[in-house]
Amino acid sequence: MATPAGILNSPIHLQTLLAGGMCPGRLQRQFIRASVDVESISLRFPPLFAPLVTINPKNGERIFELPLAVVDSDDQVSATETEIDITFNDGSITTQVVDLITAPRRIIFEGLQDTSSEVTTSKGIDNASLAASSMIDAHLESINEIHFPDRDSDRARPPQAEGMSIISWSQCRSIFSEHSDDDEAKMRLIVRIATECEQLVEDLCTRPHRILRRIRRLERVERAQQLDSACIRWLIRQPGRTLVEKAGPKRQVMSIIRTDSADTPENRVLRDFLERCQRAASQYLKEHEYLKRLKRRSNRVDLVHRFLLKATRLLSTTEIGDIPRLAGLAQPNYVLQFDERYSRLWPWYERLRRHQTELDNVWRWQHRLWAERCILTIFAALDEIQGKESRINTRAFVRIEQDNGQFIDGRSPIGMWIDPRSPQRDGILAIRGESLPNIVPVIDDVPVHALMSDLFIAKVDRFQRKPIRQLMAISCCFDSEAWSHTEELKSAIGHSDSTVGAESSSFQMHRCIMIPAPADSKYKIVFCDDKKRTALVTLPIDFESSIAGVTEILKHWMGGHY
Amino acid sequence: MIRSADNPAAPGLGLYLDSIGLRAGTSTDGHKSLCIASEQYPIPPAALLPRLSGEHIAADIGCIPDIRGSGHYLPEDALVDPNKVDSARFPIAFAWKKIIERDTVDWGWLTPEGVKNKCTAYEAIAIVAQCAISDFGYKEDQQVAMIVPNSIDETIQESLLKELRLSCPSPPKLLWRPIASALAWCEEHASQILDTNPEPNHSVGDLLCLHLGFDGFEHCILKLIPRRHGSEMFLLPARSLPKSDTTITPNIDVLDQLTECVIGSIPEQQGFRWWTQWCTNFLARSFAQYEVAAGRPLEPNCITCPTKEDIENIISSSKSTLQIHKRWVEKLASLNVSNVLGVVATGQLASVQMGSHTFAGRILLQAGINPSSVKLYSEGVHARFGELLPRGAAIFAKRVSLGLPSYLDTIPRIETIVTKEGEPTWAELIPSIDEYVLGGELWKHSSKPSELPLQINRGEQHLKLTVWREGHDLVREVVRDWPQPTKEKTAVELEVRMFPGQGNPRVEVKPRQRGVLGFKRVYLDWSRSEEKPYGKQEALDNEERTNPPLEKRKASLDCWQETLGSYQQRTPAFRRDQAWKNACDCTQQLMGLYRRGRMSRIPEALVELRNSLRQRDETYIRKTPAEHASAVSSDGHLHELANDKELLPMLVTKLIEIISSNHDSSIRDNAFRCLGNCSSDDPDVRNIIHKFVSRKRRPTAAELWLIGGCLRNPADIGEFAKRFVDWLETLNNPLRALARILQYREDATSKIPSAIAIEITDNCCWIARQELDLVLSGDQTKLAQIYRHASLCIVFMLRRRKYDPAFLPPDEPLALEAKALFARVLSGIDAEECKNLIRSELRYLTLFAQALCEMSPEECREATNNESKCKSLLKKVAAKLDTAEQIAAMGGFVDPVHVTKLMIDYIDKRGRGRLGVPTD
Repeated sequence: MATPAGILNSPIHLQTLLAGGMCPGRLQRQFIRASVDVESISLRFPPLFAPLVTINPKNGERIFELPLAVVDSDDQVSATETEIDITFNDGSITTQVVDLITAPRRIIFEGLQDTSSEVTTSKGIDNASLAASSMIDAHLESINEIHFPDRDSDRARPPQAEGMSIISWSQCRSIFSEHSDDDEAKMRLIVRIATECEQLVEDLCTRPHRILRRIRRLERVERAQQLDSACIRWLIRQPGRTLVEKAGPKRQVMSIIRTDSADTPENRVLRDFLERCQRAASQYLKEHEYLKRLKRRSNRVDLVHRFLLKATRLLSTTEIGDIPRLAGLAQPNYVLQFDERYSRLWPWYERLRRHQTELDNVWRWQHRLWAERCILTIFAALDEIQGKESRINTRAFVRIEQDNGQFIDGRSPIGMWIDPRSPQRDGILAIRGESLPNIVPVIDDVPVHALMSDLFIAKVDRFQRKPIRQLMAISCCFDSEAWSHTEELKSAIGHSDSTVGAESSSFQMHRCIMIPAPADSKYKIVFCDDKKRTALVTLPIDFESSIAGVTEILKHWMGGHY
Repeated sequence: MIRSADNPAAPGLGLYLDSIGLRAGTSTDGHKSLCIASEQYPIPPAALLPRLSGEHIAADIGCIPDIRGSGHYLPEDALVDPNKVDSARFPIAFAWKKIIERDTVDWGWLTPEGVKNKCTAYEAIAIVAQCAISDFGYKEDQQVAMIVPNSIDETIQESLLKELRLSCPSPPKLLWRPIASALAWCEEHASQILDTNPEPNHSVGDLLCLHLGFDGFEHCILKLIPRRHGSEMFLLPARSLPKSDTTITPNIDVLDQLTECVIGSIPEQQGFRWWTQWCTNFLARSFAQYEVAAGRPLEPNCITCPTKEDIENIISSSKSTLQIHKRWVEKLASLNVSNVLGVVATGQLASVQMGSHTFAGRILLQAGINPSSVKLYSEGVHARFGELLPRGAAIFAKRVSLGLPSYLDTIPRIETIVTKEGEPTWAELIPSIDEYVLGGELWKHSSKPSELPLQINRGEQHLKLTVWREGHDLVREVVRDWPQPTKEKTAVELEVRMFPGQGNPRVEVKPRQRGVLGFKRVYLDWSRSEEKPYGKQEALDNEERTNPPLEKRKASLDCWQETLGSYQQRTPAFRRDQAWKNACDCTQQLMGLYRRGRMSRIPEALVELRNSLRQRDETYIRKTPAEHASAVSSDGHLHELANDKELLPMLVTKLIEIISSNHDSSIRDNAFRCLGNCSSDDPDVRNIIHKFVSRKRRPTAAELWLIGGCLRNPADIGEFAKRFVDWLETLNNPLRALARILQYREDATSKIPSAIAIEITDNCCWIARQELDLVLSGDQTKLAQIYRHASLCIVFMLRRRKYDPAFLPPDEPLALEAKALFARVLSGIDAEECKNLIRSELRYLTLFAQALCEMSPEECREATNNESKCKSLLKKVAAKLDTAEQIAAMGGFVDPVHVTKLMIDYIDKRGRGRLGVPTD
């Protein structure tokens, strides 16, 4: 067992979002409180930097977040030891061992066996894994849609800056809401691929791009048509004086022959694409297995199932399945970029590959990803509350690749909302955790940094020097089964609240913890403390459904209580 | 904020970017124009600087402002440095201020990441305009007009249009602010005036346009001219080019004062003021209190506004920065308001009540206009606050899109360099037009052959078009080539096209005969052509010439005063105040000496006078190029600051008397020289010279001095030139006389027949070569005056090309000989310079080779065509030059190398600028 962090004379202290030992393990987010002289903290394996969450403005104390541990074995373990390197300002590095909380097991789908419709998956998959997978999948799909808009949509590719897409918050919201529709099965990338590429892959696999390849091979003497210098060198090295002697008993010489081959980079990409599609489709079908159990039909599920069967058939019956696999990352060659058929395939392949890579990377940061989703929900809810007056110029800078589980850049201008119900037309500001030091001048005596919240919402008077009237700290945790451990959560929250002492003489302070709601249920305030200051809220993963819930909560908060 | 749904399919959209707001007006066909944003009070428009590299500058015109650069204390990009104005937000008020004050420093923002991002004032305005246009529901078939202050000059206009073109898919047209307000006035009052059936195209009266806003105070008088279009009559405002002092820009501190009045004193002055002032709408709302016509109470949820009294107190306070600039008021008071028919007052302050009058009314009283006696149309009183200008712009846009007349404007002067009789000169492309032209419509003008006959010479393959336009200090140039040289001289016309008020003329060369220029269009588009770093005069000086400009002698004040002093010294017996007058009475003075038997003192006095008059001013010589100045100019004038100007004709008269009454040759000679130095144009002098020129006997040295200084009559000059060849025995004196005549007199070569001119040039070449040979052989130490005068005669005789373009072409043997001569001299004067010349200009190689290597012309020609031979030849020449004997030239105050090179250039018809070689 590793030494728990927080030992005497240690520069770091391990801390959890809620009081340790009082709530189910997975609900916890782990943070490291480090002294001012700590520059950075990084994990040895996998090599990751722990993101800096906030800085205590008074003593410079820094708070880093730790990722979840990803385990591949079938054993259910609650914690995994890992070594962390602590880098100090003077350049020195010390190593400590910490226990990381484990993430739900990754779902690895192995596709269909032959033509049967049963999907085989690795063992030990629980609902938590499926819920995490579902949430991450939905989020990634929306992020992908921002960067590479669907051709059928009216959207153009957004402008880029520093490799990030710049998109208005309203557009961002509409993209995230797009996937909420009547079909019970969720809209995912694989559904799009199945819709768009079914005919294309059939066509490509049956009529792949071929090239005439020149190879050197032993050929019967009478059939040899072309020799080159290498063939001559081979011939010279052969024993014998005459051609007949050199040809040997098999009467074969080295010659150049031309052979028709489908082994081209673009066809390797095609094979990789089909295999990736198999993975994605299997996962999708597993995710929606409950529909089958409930005997409900979904067009999307049927479509994906049909596509999975087709991909499996094409890989086993056409020569594409025999082509060697891609070595390394695929590079778009001329055919992939400009050929009429292959150029349609390449963007989908790129998008799928990116999606799956990100899915792997973001698995250990699912709390932070959930937090980002909740933040977007809160912004949308504030827009709803504000009504017709829109925030015109506010825009999000969206990264293509995740940064410790977050795609929205911290520098994105969030803007201000107006509380339409307040007579003074108070402003509402949203401050992300990392921007916390900026609000210190106006919340001086309240140690809000200790809450390690993802977002702060402040109701401000627009024309006062010390404007904050109300402040709400929002923390997000992702555990799909946390809602079932209400009592433990109550105890943990109560304990952590007393630890934090989030009270202020000049303004009202609230705290809200957002966890995912059980499947098919709406938002709910699970718990509220006696002073109506702290609430535990469950939110559905579906974006549009969660907005309604958050809107309700915020309206209550603006009224002064939950 | 208004949205596209509120904007019906109107043909015109008018846009007004104010300091504290943004307004748009629309005008539908057949209906009255309306201001679609009048009910909104948006925040002061601003540009938002990017934080990320690659992020674009954005516009912020929304009701809830962007937090970036707002001055709030969170988040970090909202912060404004209290010590600096620059921030992530660039309010348009500051952009206009920068433009009008010609502040070229970009607005900057140091991002939290430490990157300095910048934005120009033009960029900010263009981006906000583009955002506003799309936000107000722009449609492709809509014409958009944007209001600009009346005082912005062509350079600003052009820069603004350039940025608008880059930012907007369909760039708006610019409209002068007084025209916009006048159009709104006309919409209201035109029918009353037109009902009286006024005579078309004649002014019916004047309209005074007053703008009293935070973005500037402006007054402008426009003429009201009825004009018929089809069957319809329009009353159009006509604008003349404005004077700069009709506009002043109040300091932005005015807004600060008003803000402070409401908010009170704030510890974080700058940041908080920024937040309250540039990210809220309260100032606009405050001034809406003066909206008498609307009479509506303010909305309950508006933020605190200053009271009417507060605003009035601020404006009338003696400490207020709103106290109008004294000169502006004086200018307003000096306007001729006798014909003023109506007044239109716009701007936030126009309707502010000050005692019994509004602010606009008070200003009118200062201008001598009784507000009740004219058709006054004021914002906030007769129309909604902030409505008139966008409405006027919308009317303009609608009329332009429907092809109707909108307003009348004046065209700026446009000039180009043409070569007239070998002399480059600026020619006006647009004759002075008294009439106004229709603004907003394409205006074309072609130069008529009768006004400006233009042609392109034979053998030309490229054309340099240099254009200057009024309002610009610098010129623009474009050089166009065409595939084949012109086979014969081609008559061309120059066509000018431009949109009045929108800048950017396009000057196109149109040959009468199609295809002469290889079917290529040869034109200068002002906006796209290169701006040269020099003005009109410098452009003219840089122009290549076929003949050198005159080298006249200037009049020096110092020399004249010294002359006066020297004469006073010679006559101490006279009273000082009358000394000069008496001294000038040379006859008495000299006769007195004669009678008293002091014979020796008479010539001495004349010699003294002669030398004084000849004395050159050293300060002029030090100029580059050098100038020659003495007491009297070569035109016979004194310096403009010289006193006693009447003394010079007196002196001339007395000298003539001496000549006519005296037979002593030395006295006469000195008197001749004195007259020559005076360059007198007296009729008696002309007669004397005429006699000298027409008689058979060769003139004496003194007579030649007189001829050189005073001969002006072209016929006499022609006669002198004919006889000149015979008088060359004395070499120097006739040469000096001819050189002076040629370099002083504009039309000196007009009556010299080309054959005579050739003969003189040939002789001069011979003389100069003889001089050179003497120097090279060691018989003479340096090239002296004879060489100088001979070479000047050669070069200034080129001015004959003015009257005979075929005179001495560069490839003629005589021209080659002259160039070879100068090249030889040049090689001797400065071997290193010559080497550089050889390296850079192979065309001279033949001449050098011929001169220095004694090679045959054929050999040399072959050598220039062959690269390797050419190089070897160059080496030979360079080797020769290394050992060449240095030739000392009597340079005096000229740069012999430069002058000699310039002489070669002039023979080659590509000289630039003055020689800077006086005869003495």
